[in-house]
Amino acid sequence: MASMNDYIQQETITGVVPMTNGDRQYSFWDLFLSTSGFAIATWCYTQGAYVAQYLSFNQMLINIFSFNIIWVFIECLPIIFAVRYGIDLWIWLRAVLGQKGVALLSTVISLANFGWYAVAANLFASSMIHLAGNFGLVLDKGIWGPILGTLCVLLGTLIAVGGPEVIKWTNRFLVIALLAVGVIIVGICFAAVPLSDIMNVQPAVEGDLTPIERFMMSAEGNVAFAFSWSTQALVLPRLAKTERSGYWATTLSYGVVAPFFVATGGVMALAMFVKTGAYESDPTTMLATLSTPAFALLSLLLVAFANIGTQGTGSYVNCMIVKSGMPKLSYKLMVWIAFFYVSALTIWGGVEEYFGSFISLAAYIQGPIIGMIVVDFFLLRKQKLALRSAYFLKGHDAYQYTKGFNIVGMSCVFISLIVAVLFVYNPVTQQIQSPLFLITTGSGFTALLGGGLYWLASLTPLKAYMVRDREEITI
Amino acid sequence: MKEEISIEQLIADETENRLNMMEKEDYPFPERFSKADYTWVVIGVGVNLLLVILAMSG
Repeated sequence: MASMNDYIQQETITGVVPMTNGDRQYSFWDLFLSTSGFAIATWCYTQGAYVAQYLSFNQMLINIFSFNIIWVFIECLPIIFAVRYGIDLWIWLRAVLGQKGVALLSTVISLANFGWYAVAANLFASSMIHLAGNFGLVLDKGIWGPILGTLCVLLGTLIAVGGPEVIKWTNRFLVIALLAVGVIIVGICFAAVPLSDIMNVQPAVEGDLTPIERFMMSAEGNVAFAFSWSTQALVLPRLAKTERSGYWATTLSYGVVAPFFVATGGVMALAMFVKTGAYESDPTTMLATLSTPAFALLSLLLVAFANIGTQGTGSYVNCMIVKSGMPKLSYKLMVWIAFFYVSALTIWGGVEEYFGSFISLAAYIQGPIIGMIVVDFFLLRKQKLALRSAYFLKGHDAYQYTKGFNIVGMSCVFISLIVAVLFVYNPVTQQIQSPLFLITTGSGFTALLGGGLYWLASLTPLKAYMVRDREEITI
Repeated sequence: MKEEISIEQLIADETENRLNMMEKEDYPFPERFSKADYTWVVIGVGVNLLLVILAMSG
Protein backbone atom coordinates (compact mmCIF):
# COMPACT_ATOMS: atom_id res chain seq x y z
CA MET A 1 0.00 0.00 0.00
CA ALA A 2 2.87 2.33 0.82
CA SER A 3 4.27 1.87 -2.67
CA MET A 4 0.84 2.66 -4.14
CA ASN A 5 0.72 5.86 -2.10
CA ASP A 6 4.20 6.73 -3.32
CA TYR A 7 3.03 6.10 -6.86
CA ILE A 8 0.07 8.44 -6.42
CA GLN A 9 2.36 11.08 -4.91
CA GLN A 10 4.72 10.75 -7.86
CA GLU A 11 1.89 10.98 -10.39
CA THR A 12 0.54 14.07 -8.61
CA ILE A 13 3.92 15.72 -8.97
CA THR A 14 4.14 14.70 -12.61
CA GLY A 15 0.72 16.18 -13.30
CA VAL A 16 -1.31 13.07 -14.08
CA VAL A 17 -3.55 13.66 -11.04
CA PRO A 18 -4.96 17.10 -10.06
CA MET A 19 -3.43 18.73 -7.00
CA THR A 20 -5.61 19.50 -4.02
CA ASN A 21 -5.12 21.78 -1.03
CA GLY A 22 -2.93 19.29 0.83
CA ASP A 23 -0.41 19.26 -2.02
CA ARG A 24 0.12 23.03 -2.08
CA GLN A 25 3.37 23.86 -0.35
CA TYR A 26 4.86 26.94 -2.06
CA SER A 27 4.60 30.45 -0.62
CA PHE A 28 5.28 33.48 -2.85
CA TRP A 29 8.99 33.38 -1.97
CA ASP A 30 9.32 29.59 -2.44
CA LEU A 31 7.84 29.84 -5.90
CA PHE A 32 9.68 33.06 -6.77
CA LEU A 33 13.09 31.55 -5.91
CA SER A 34 12.40 28.20 -7.62
CA THR A 35 11.14 29.86 -10.80
CA SER A 36 13.92 32.45 -10.82
CA GLY A 37 16.48 29.66 -10.55
CA PHE A 38 15.03 28.11 -13.67
CA ALA A 39 14.64 31.47 -15.45
CA ILE A 40 18.15 32.89 -15.01
CA ALA A 41 20.05 30.10 -16.72
CA THR A 42 23.15 31.01 -18.70
CA TRP A 43 21.18 31.12 -21.95
CA CYS A 44 20.12 34.61 -20.80
CA TYR A 45 23.60 35.79 -21.84
CA THR A 46 23.19 34.32 -25.32
CA GLN A 47 19.84 36.11 -25.60
CA GLY A 48 21.30 39.41 -24.31
CA ALA A 49 24.19 39.37 -26.77
CA TYR A 50 21.75 38.63 -29.61
CA VAL A 51 19.63 41.67 -28.69
CA ALA A 52 22.57 44.01 -28.00
CA GLN A 53 23.91 43.92 -31.55
CA TYR A 54 20.82 45.74 -32.88
CA LEU A 55 20.36 48.63 -30.42
CA SER A 56 21.86 51.44 -28.37
CA PHE A 57 22.13 50.92 -24.60
CA ASN A 58 18.91 52.75 -23.56
CA GLN A 59 16.82 51.21 -26.33
CA MET A 60 18.22 47.78 -25.48
CA LEU A 61 17.03 48.09 -21.86
CA ILE A 62 13.51 49.20 -22.88
CA ASN A 63 13.33 46.49 -25.53
CA ILE A 64 14.39 43.73 -23.14
CA PHE A 65 12.25 44.68 -20.15
CA SER A 66 9.11 46.08 -21.81
CA PHE A 67 8.46 43.35 -24.37
CA ASN A 68 9.15 40.65 -21.81
CA ILE A 69 6.87 42.21 -19.18
CA ILE A 70 4.01 42.85 -21.65
CA TRP A 71 3.90 39.29 -22.95
CA VAL A 72 4.77 37.46 -19.72
CA PHE A 73 1.97 39.33 -17.89
CA ILE A 74 -0.50 38.19 -20.59
CA GLU A 75 0.70 34.63 -21.18
CA CYS A 76 0.78 33.86 -17.44
CA LEU A 77 -2.90 34.74 -16.81
CA PRO A 78 -3.88 31.04 -17.16
CA ILE A 79 -1.83 30.44 -13.98
CA ILE A 80 -5.09 31.36 -12.26
CA PHE A 81 -6.65 28.04 -13.28
CA ALA A 82 -3.42 26.11 -12.66
CA VAL A 83 -3.56 27.15 -9.00
CA ARG A 84 -7.36 26.96 -8.63
CA TYR A 85 -7.77 23.43 -9.99
CA GLY A 86 -4.21 22.14 -9.43
CA ILE A 87 -3.76 21.30 -13.11
CA ASP A 88 -1.14 22.10 -15.74
CA LEU A 89 -1.71 24.15 -18.89
CA TRP A 90 -1.67 21.00 -21.01
CA ILE A 91 -4.60 19.48 -19.09
CA TRP A 92 -6.74 22.53 -19.96
CA LEU A 93 -5.43 22.42 -23.52
CA ARG A 94 -7.11 19.02 -23.95
CA ALA A 95 -10.29 21.11 -24.27
CA VAL A 96 -8.70 23.45 -26.82
CA LEU A 97 -6.73 20.98 -28.96
CA GLY A 98 -8.17 17.55 -28.11
CA GLN A 99 -6.36 14.60 -26.52
CA LYS A 100 -4.20 13.74 -29.54
CA GLY A 101 -3.70 17.41 -30.38
CA VAL A 102 -2.09 17.86 -26.97
CA ALA A 103 0.06 14.74 -27.43
CA LEU A 104 1.29 16.07 -30.80
CA LEU A 105 1.94 19.71 -29.88
CA SER A 106 3.35 19.06 -26.39
CA THR A 107 5.93 16.76 -27.99
CA VAL A 108 6.79 19.22 -30.78
CA ILE A 109 7.14 22.12 -28.33
CA SER A 110 9.28 20.10 -25.92
CA LEU A 111 11.55 19.09 -28.80
CA ALA A 112 11.92 22.81 -29.55
CA ASN A 113 12.42 23.73 -25.87
CA PHE A 114 15.26 21.23 -25.54
CA GLY A 115 17.28 23.40 -27.94
CA TRP A 116 17.84 25.79 -25.03
CA TYR A 117 19.51 22.98 -23.08
CA ALA A 118 21.94 22.36 -25.92
CA VAL A 119 22.91 26.04 -25.56
CA ALA A 120 23.50 25.49 -21.82
CA ALA A 121 25.52 22.31 -22.46
CA ASN A 122 27.78 24.07 -24.94
CA LEU A 123 28.34 26.89 -22.43
CA PHE A 124 29.34 24.22 -19.89
CA ALA A 125 31.85 22.80 -22.38
CA SER A 126 33.18 26.26 -23.07
CA SER A 127 33.62 27.01 -19.36
CA MET A 128 35.48 23.72 -18.83
CA ILE A 129 37.82 24.41 -21.76
CA HIS A 130 38.58 27.88 -20.36
CA LEU A 131 39.11 26.39 -16.90
CA ALA A 132 41.59 23.87 -18.31
CA GLY A 133 43.31 26.75 -20.10
CA ASN A 134 43.75 28.51 -16.76
CA PHE A 135 45.75 25.48 -15.60
CA GLY A 136 47.89 25.50 -18.74
CA LEU A 137 46.02 22.59 -20.34
CA VAL A 138 45.04 23.46 -23.92
CA LEU A 139 41.98 21.48 -25.06
CA ASP A 140 40.96 21.37 -28.73
CA LYS A 141 37.43 22.85 -28.78
CA GLY A 142 36.47 20.78 -31.84
CA ILE A 143 37.15 17.53 -29.98
CA TRP A 144 36.45 18.42 -26.33
CA GLY A 145 33.43 20.68 -26.92
CA PRO A 146 31.04 17.82 -27.85
CA ILE A 147 32.51 15.48 -25.21
CA LEU A 148 32.17 17.97 -22.34
CA GLY A 149 28.76 19.14 -23.61
CA THR A 150 27.48 15.57 -23.54
CA LEU A 151 28.94 15.13 -20.04
CA CYS A 152 26.89 18.14 -18.89
CA VAL A 153 23.70 16.62 -20.38
CA LEU A 154 24.48 13.28 -18.68
CA LEU A 155 24.99 14.86 -15.24
CA GLY A 156 21.79 16.88 -15.67
CA THR A 157 19.92 13.74 -16.68
CA LEU A 158 21.04 11.99 -13.48
CA ILE A 159 19.58 14.91 -11.49
CA ALA A 160 16.29 14.67 -13.44
CA VAL A 161 16.11 10.91 -12.79
CA GLY A 162 16.47 11.71 -9.07
CA GLY A 163 13.12 13.52 -9.24
CA PRO A 164 11.70 16.63 -7.54
CA GLU A 165 13.50 16.25 -4.20
CA VAL A 166 16.95 16.12 -5.84
CA ILE A 167 15.96 18.98 -8.14
CA LYS A 168 14.81 21.09 -5.17
CA TRP A 169 18.20 20.77 -3.47
CA THR A 170 20.05 21.33 -6.75
CA ASN A 171 18.04 24.51 -7.30
CA ARG A 172 18.99 25.88 -3.90
CA PHE A 173 22.62 25.83 -4.97
CA LEU A 174 21.79 26.75 -8.56
CA VAL A 175 20.04 30.02 -7.68
CA ILE A 176 22.94 31.18 -5.51
CA ALA A 177 25.49 30.20 -8.20
CA LEU A 178 23.61 31.97 -10.99
CA LEU A 179 23.00 35.11 -8.93
CA ALA A 180 26.71 35.19 -8.08
CA VAL A 181 27.63 34.82 -11.76
CA GLY A 182 25.31 37.69 -12.67
CA VAL A 183 26.73 40.01 -10.01
CA ILE A 184 30.32 39.08 -10.96
CA ILE A 185 29.69 39.70 -14.67
CA VAL A 186 28.10 43.12 -14.08
CA GLY A 187 30.94 44.03 -11.72
CA ILE A 188 33.65 42.93 -14.15
CA CYS A 189 32.00 44.74 -17.08
CA PHE A 190 31.80 48.08 -15.30
CA ALA A 191 35.27 47.67 -13.79
CA ALA A 192 36.86 46.88 -17.16
CA VAL A 193 34.89 49.33 -19.32
CA PRO A 194 33.52 52.75 -18.23
CA LEU A 195 29.72 53.04 -18.34
CA SER A 196 29.96 56.02 -20.70
CA ASP A 197 31.82 53.85 -23.25
CA ILE A 198 29.16 51.14 -23.01
CA MET A 199 26.38 53.71 -23.46
CA ASN A 200 28.07 55.19 -26.53
CA VAL A 201 28.35 51.93 -28.47
CA GLN A 202 26.53 52.17 -31.80
CA PRO A 203 24.57 49.14 -33.03
CA ALA A 204 26.79 46.63 -34.82
CA VAL A 205 24.07 45.29 -37.10
CA GLU A 206 22.71 48.16 -39.17
CA GLY A 207 22.89 46.79 -42.71
CA ASP A 208 19.86 47.86 -44.74
CA LEU A 209 17.66 48.06 -41.65
CA THR A 210 16.00 51.30 -40.52
CA PRO A 211 16.20 52.16 -36.79
CA ILE A 212 12.61 50.99 -36.23
CA GLU A 213 13.28 47.72 -38.10
CA ARG A 214 16.31 47.12 -35.86
CA PHE A 215 14.21 47.88 -32.78
CA MET A 216 11.53 45.40 -33.84
CA MET A 217 14.02 42.71 -34.95
CA SER A 218 15.37 42.90 -31.42
CA ALA A 219 11.80 42.89 -30.10
CA GLU A 220 11.11 39.71 -32.09
CA GLY A 221 13.94 38.06 -30.15
CA ASN A 222 12.52 39.28 -26.84
CA VAL A 223 8.91 38.30 -27.59
CA ALA A 224 10.12 34.85 -28.67
CA PHE A 225 12.15 34.65 -25.44
CA ALA A 226 9.04 35.57 -23.40
CA PHE A 227 6.99 32.95 -25.28
CA SER A 228 9.59 30.26 -24.60
CA TRP A 229 8.43 30.08 -20.96
CA SER A 230 4.72 29.87 -21.76
CA THR A 231 4.25 26.15 -22.18
CA GLN A 232 6.27 25.24 -19.09
CA ALA A 233 5.29 28.22 -16.92
CA LEU A 234 2.30 26.52 -15.30
CA VAL A 235 4.05 23.43 -13.93
CA LEU A 236 5.43 24.98 -10.73
CA PRO A 237 2.54 27.39 -9.87
CA ARG A 238 0.26 24.39 -9.26
CA LEU A 239 2.12 24.17 -5.95
CA ALA A 240 1.26 27.78 -4.97
CA LYS A 241 -0.99 28.45 -1.98
CA THR A 242 -2.93 31.34 -3.59
CA GLU A 243 -3.75 32.45 -7.13
CA ARG A 244 -2.12 35.81 -6.39
CA SER A 245 1.20 34.34 -5.20
CA GLY A 246 1.22 31.86 -8.09
CA TYR A 247 0.75 34.58 -10.70
CA TRP A 248 3.05 37.28 -9.31
CA ALA A 249 5.89 34.95 -8.31
CA THR A 250 5.93 33.51 -11.83
CA THR A 251 5.53 36.77 -13.76
CA LEU A 252 8.17 38.59 -11.73
CA SER A 253 10.60 35.69 -12.31
CA TYR A 254 10.08 35.43 -16.07
CA GLY A 255 9.15 39.07 -16.70
CA VAL A 256 11.69 40.94 -14.53
CA VAL A 257 14.41 38.63 -13.13
CA ALA A 258 15.11 36.77 -16.39
CA PRO A 259 15.18 40.03 -18.44
CA PHE A 260 17.60 41.48 -15.86
CA PHE A 261 20.02 38.68 -16.70
CA VAL A 262 19.36 39.14 -20.42
CA ALA A 263 20.27 42.81 -19.95
CA THR A 264 23.41 41.66 -18.11
CA GLY A 265 24.26 39.58 -21.18
CA GLY A 266 23.68 42.66 -23.31
CA VAL A 267 25.97 44.80 -21.15
CA MET A 268 28.57 42.02 -21.29
CA ALA A 269 28.41 41.93 -25.09
CA LEU A 270 28.74 45.73 -25.30
CA ALA A 271 31.69 45.72 -22.88
CA MET A 272 33.43 43.02 -24.91
CA PHE A 273 32.72 45.02 -28.08
CA VAL A 274 34.43 48.07 -26.56
CA LYS A 275 37.41 45.97 -25.43
CA THR A 276 37.89 43.57 -28.33
CA GLY A 277 35.76 44.87 -31.22
CA ALA A 278 33.66 41.69 -31.26
CA TYR A 279 30.26 40.86 -29.79
CA GLU A 280 30.61 37.95 -27.38
CA SER A 281 27.67 35.82 -26.29
CA ASP A 282 29.70 33.36 -24.23
CA PRO A 283 30.10 34.58 -20.62
CA THR A 284 32.99 32.17 -20.08
CA THR A 285 35.03 33.80 -22.86
CA MET A 286 34.21 37.19 -21.41
CA LEU A 287 35.22 36.11 -17.90
CA ALA A 288 38.49 34.68 -19.19
CA THR A 289 39.20 37.90 -21.14
CA LEU A 290 38.15 40.69 -18.79
CA SER A 291 38.83 39.42 -15.27
CA THR A 292 41.76 38.35 -13.13
CA PRO A 293 42.67 34.61 -13.28
CA ALA A 294 41.47 33.85 -9.72
CA PHE A 295 38.13 35.56 -10.26
CA ALA A 296 37.70 33.89 -13.63
CA LEU A 297 38.39 30.50 -12.05
CA LEU A 298 35.68 30.97 -9.42
CA SER A 299 33.05 32.25 -11.81
CA LEU A 300 33.80 29.63 -14.47
CA LEU A 301 33.19 26.94 -11.85
CA LEU A 302 29.87 28.57 -10.95
CA VAL A 303 28.85 28.68 -14.63
CA ALA A 304 29.75 25.00 -15.02
CA PHE A 305 27.67 23.83 -12.05
CA ALA A 306 24.78 26.13 -12.94
CA ASN A 307 24.52 24.57 -16.39
CA ILE A 308 24.34 21.06 -14.93
CA GLY A 309 21.53 22.15 -12.60
CA THR A 310 19.68 23.80 -15.48
CA GLN A 311 19.86 20.55 -17.47
CA GLY A 312 18.31 18.66 -14.56
CA THR A 313 15.41 21.05 -13.96
CA GLY A 314 14.74 21.50 -17.68
CA SER A 315 14.70 17.78 -18.40
CA TYR A 316 12.21 17.24 -15.54
CA VAL A 317 9.88 20.05 -16.63
CA ASN A 318 9.86 19.19 -20.34
CA CYS A 319 9.40 15.47 -19.74
CA MET A 320 6.39 16.35 -17.59
CA ILE A 321 4.97 18.33 -20.51
CA VAL A 322 5.32 15.32 -22.82
CA LYS A 323 3.83 13.10 -20.10
CA SER A 324 0.70 15.27 -20.03
CA GLY A 325 0.20 14.32 -23.68
CA MET A 326 1.20 10.68 -23.25
CA PRO A 327 0.43 9.76 -19.60
CA LYS A 328 1.30 6.07 -20.03
CA LEU A 329 4.93 6.74 -20.97
CA SER A 330 7.46 6.10 -18.20
CA TYR A 331 9.00 9.29 -16.81
CA LYS A 332 12.47 7.74 -16.56
CA LEU A 333 12.32 6.43 -20.13
CA MET A 334 11.43 9.94 -21.34
CA VAL A 335 14.32 11.47 -19.39
CA TRP A 336 16.78 9.10 -21.08
CA ILE A 337 15.28 9.73 -24.54
CA ALA A 338 15.73 13.45 -23.82
CA PHE A 339 19.37 12.75 -22.90
CA PHE A 340 20.11 11.30 -26.35
CA TYR A 341 18.18 14.07 -28.12
CA VAL A 342 19.85 16.98 -26.27
CA SER A 343 23.26 15.31 -26.66
CA ALA A 344 22.69 15.13 -30.42
CA LEU A 345 21.71 18.84 -30.52
CA THR A 346 24.78 19.70 -28.43
CA ILE A 347 27.18 17.80 -30.70
CA TRP A 348 25.52 19.34 -33.79
CA GLY A 349 26.02 22.86 -32.36
CA GLY A 350 23.55 24.42 -34.79
CA VAL A 351 21.21 25.91 -32.19
CA GLU A 352 23.65 28.74 -31.36
CA GLU A 353 24.56 29.17 -35.01
CA TYR A 354 20.92 29.77 -35.99
CA PHE A 355 19.86 31.23 -32.62
CA GLY A 356 17.44 33.90 -33.94
CA SER A 357 15.69 31.43 -36.23
CA PHE A 358 15.55 28.78 -33.52
CA ILE A 359 13.83 30.94 -30.88
CA SER A 360 11.34 32.44 -33.36
CA LEU A 361 10.38 29.09 -34.89
CA ALA A 362 9.66 27.67 -31.43
CA ALA A 363 7.68 30.80 -30.55
CA TYR A 364 5.57 30.49 -33.72
CA ILE A 365 4.08 27.27 -32.34
CA GLN A 366 3.72 28.60 -28.80
CA GLY A 367 2.24 31.97 -29.87
CA PRO A 368 -1.14 30.76 -31.17
CA ILE A 369 -1.54 28.55 -28.08
CA ILE A 370 -0.99 31.59 -25.82
CA GLY A 371 -3.69 33.57 -27.65
CA MET A 372 -6.13 30.65 -27.71
CA ILE A 373 -5.75 29.65 -24.06
CA VAL A 374 -6.42 33.22 -22.85
CA VAL A 375 -9.55 33.44 -25.07
CA ASP A 376 -10.70 29.95 -24.06
CA PHE A 377 -10.21 30.54 -20.32
CA PHE A 378 -11.78 34.00 -20.04
CA LEU A 379 -14.29 34.25 -22.92
CA LEU A 380 -15.28 30.79 -24.09
CA ARG A 381 -15.34 28.56 -21.00
CA LYS A 382 -15.53 31.47 -18.55
CA GLN A 383 -12.96 29.94 -16.17
CA LYS A 384 -14.78 26.59 -15.82
CA LEU A 385 -13.56 23.25 -17.19
CA ALA A 386 -15.16 19.78 -17.21
CA LEU A 387 -12.33 18.20 -15.24
CA ARG A 388 -13.60 14.62 -15.56
CA SER A 389 -13.45 14.91 -19.34
CA ALA A 390 -10.07 16.61 -19.13
CA TYR A 391 -8.77 13.55 -17.26
CA PHE A 392 -10.52 11.11 -19.64
CA LEU A 393 -12.52 9.47 -16.84
CA LYS A 394 -14.88 6.75 -18.03
CA GLY A 395 -18.14 8.08 -19.45
CA HIS A 396 -16.81 11.63 -19.81
CA ASP A 397 -15.76 12.43 -23.36
CA ALA A 398 -16.55 16.11 -23.93
CA TYR A 399 -13.01 16.67 -25.21
CA GLN A 400 -12.67 13.74 -27.60
CA TYR A 401 -13.73 15.85 -30.62
CA THR A 402 -12.71 14.32 -33.98
CA LYS A 403 -10.61 11.19 -33.35
CA GLY A 404 -8.83 13.03 -30.52
CA PHE A 405 -8.20 16.29 -32.40
CA ASN A 406 -10.12 19.55 -31.91
CA ILE A 407 -10.12 20.49 -35.61
CA VAL A 408 -10.98 24.14 -34.90
CA GLY A 409 -8.21 24.57 -32.32
CA MET A 410 -5.58 22.76 -34.38
CA SER A 411 -6.55 24.78 -37.49
CA CYS A 412 -6.10 28.05 -35.57
CA VAL A 413 -2.56 26.99 -34.60
CA PHE A 414 -1.48 26.03 -38.11
CA ILE A 415 -3.21 28.92 -39.92
CA SER A 416 -1.55 31.43 -37.55
CA LEU A 417 1.86 29.83 -38.03
CA ILE A 418 1.62 29.71 -41.84
CA VAL A 419 0.17 33.23 -42.24
CA ALA A 420 2.90 34.67 -39.99
CA VAL A 421 5.70 32.96 -41.95
CA LEU A 422 4.32 33.90 -45.39
CA PHE A 423 3.01 37.40 -44.74
CA VAL A 424 4.60 38.91 -41.59
CA TYR A 425 8.10 37.62 -40.77
CA ASN A 426 9.96 34.55 -41.94
CA PRO A 427 12.10 33.33 -39.02
CA VAL A 428 14.13 30.97 -41.22
CA THR A 429 15.36 33.65 -43.64
CA GLN A 430 14.90 36.46 -41.05
CA GLN A 431 13.04 38.47 -43.71
CA ILE A 432 10.42 41.08 -42.75
CA GLN A 433 7.45 40.38 -45.05
CA SER A 434 5.06 43.14 -44.00
CA PRO A 435 4.91 46.52 -42.16
CA LEU A 436 2.66 44.69 -39.68
CA PHE A 437 5.86 43.20 -38.23
CA LEU A 438 6.82 46.70 -37.06
CA ILE A 439 3.72 46.78 -34.84
CA THR A 440 3.26 43.21 -33.59
CA THR A 441 6.55 41.37 -34.32
CA GLY A 442 6.18 37.94 -35.95
CA SER A 443 5.79 35.96 -32.73
CA GLY A 444 3.36 38.49 -31.24
CA PHE A 445 1.30 38.31 -34.44
CA THR A 446 0.89 34.53 -34.06
CA ALA A 447 -0.56 35.01 -30.56
CA LEU A 448 -2.94 37.77 -31.68
CA LEU A 449 -4.08 35.87 -34.79
CA GLY A 450 -4.41 32.53 -32.96
CA GLY A 451 -6.53 34.09 -30.22
CA GLY A 452 -8.51 36.18 -32.72
CA LEU A 453 -9.33 33.26 -35.03
CA TYR A 454 -10.35 31.08 -32.09
CA TRP A 455 -12.64 33.82 -30.75
CA LEU A 456 -14.16 34.45 -34.20
CA ALA A 457 -14.81 30.72 -34.61
CA SER A 458 -16.71 30.76 -31.32
CA LEU A 459 -19.10 33.39 -32.76
CA THR A 460 -20.16 30.99 -35.55
CA PRO A 461 -22.08 27.69 -35.43
CA LEU A 462 -18.66 26.08 -34.78
CA LYS A 463 -19.21 26.98 -31.10
CA ALA A 464 -21.42 23.89 -30.71
CA TYR A 465 -18.39 21.80 -31.72
CA MET A 466 -15.91 23.75 -29.57
CA VAL A 467 -17.95 23.94 -26.34
CA ARG A 468 -19.77 20.71 -25.54
CA ASP A 469 -18.92 20.48 -21.85
CA ARG A 470 -21.30 22.93 -20.15
CA GLU A 471 -23.68 20.28 -18.81
CA GLU A 472 -20.77 18.49 -17.21
CA ILE A 473 -19.44 21.44 -15.17
CA THR A 474 -19.67 20.59 -11.47
CA ILE A 475 -16.72 22.46 -9.95
CA MET B 1 -0.94 -6.45 -18.26
CA LYS B 2 -2.91 -6.95 -15.05
CA GLU B 3 -0.51 -4.62 -13.20
CA GLU B 4 -0.91 -1.97 -15.92
CA ILE B 5 -4.70 -2.08 -15.69
CA SER B 6 -4.63 -1.80 -11.91
CA ILE B 7 -2.35 1.24 -12.04
CA GLU B 8 -4.57 2.95 -14.61
CA GLN B 9 -7.60 2.20 -12.46
CA LEU B 10 -5.75 3.48 -9.40
CA ILE B 11 -5.03 6.80 -11.12
CA ALA B 12 -8.65 7.09 -12.31
CA ASP B 13 -9.96 6.36 -8.79
CA GLU B 14 -7.59 8.87 -7.21
CA THR B 15 -8.58 11.53 -9.75
CA GLU B 16 -12.27 10.83 -9.07
CA ASN B 17 -11.68 11.12 -5.31
CA ARG B 18 -9.91 14.45 -5.71
CA LEU B 19 -12.61 15.86 -7.99
CA ASN B 20 -15.27 14.73 -5.50
CA MET B 21 -13.39 16.66 -2.80
CA MET B 22 -13.36 19.79 -4.96
CA GLU B 23 -17.12 19.50 -5.55
CA LYS B 24 -17.92 19.83 -1.85
CA GLU B 25 -19.25 23.24 -0.90
CA ASP B 26 -16.74 23.69 1.90
CA TYR B 27 -13.69 22.79 -0.23
CA PRO B 28 -11.07 25.47 0.51
CA PHE B 29 -10.11 26.71 -2.96
CA PRO B 30 -7.01 28.96 -2.98
CA GLU B 31 -7.57 32.68 -2.48
CA ARG B 32 -8.84 34.20 -5.74
CA PHE B 33 -7.02 36.62 -8.03
CA SER B 34 -8.58 39.96 -7.06
CA LYS B 35 -9.73 43.00 -9.06
CA ALA B 36 -6.71 44.85 -7.66
CA ASP B 37 -4.45 42.15 -9.14
CA TYR B 38 -6.09 42.49 -12.56
CA THR B 39 -5.67 46.28 -12.28
CA TRP B 40 -1.92 45.86 -11.67
CA VAL B 41 -1.68 43.57 -14.70
CA VAL B 42 -3.32 46.26 -16.88
CA ILE B 43 -1.05 48.97 -15.41
CA GLY B 44 2.06 46.82 -16.00
CA VAL B 45 1.15 46.12 -19.62
CA GLY B 46 0.06 49.74 -20.23
CA VAL B 47 3.17 51.41 -18.80
CA ASN B 48 5.46 49.14 -20.78
CA LEU B 49 3.48 49.67 -23.99
CA LEU B 50 3.96 53.41 -23.44
CA LEU B 51 7.73 52.94 -23.00
CA VAL B 52 7.87 50.92 -26.22
CA ILE B 53 5.96 53.62 -28.13
CA LEU B 54 8.32 56.32 -26.77
CA ALA B 55 11.36 54.27 -27.83
CA MET B 56 9.91 53.50 -31.28
CA SER B 57 9.03 57.13 -31.92
CA GLY B 58 12.57 58.20 -31.06
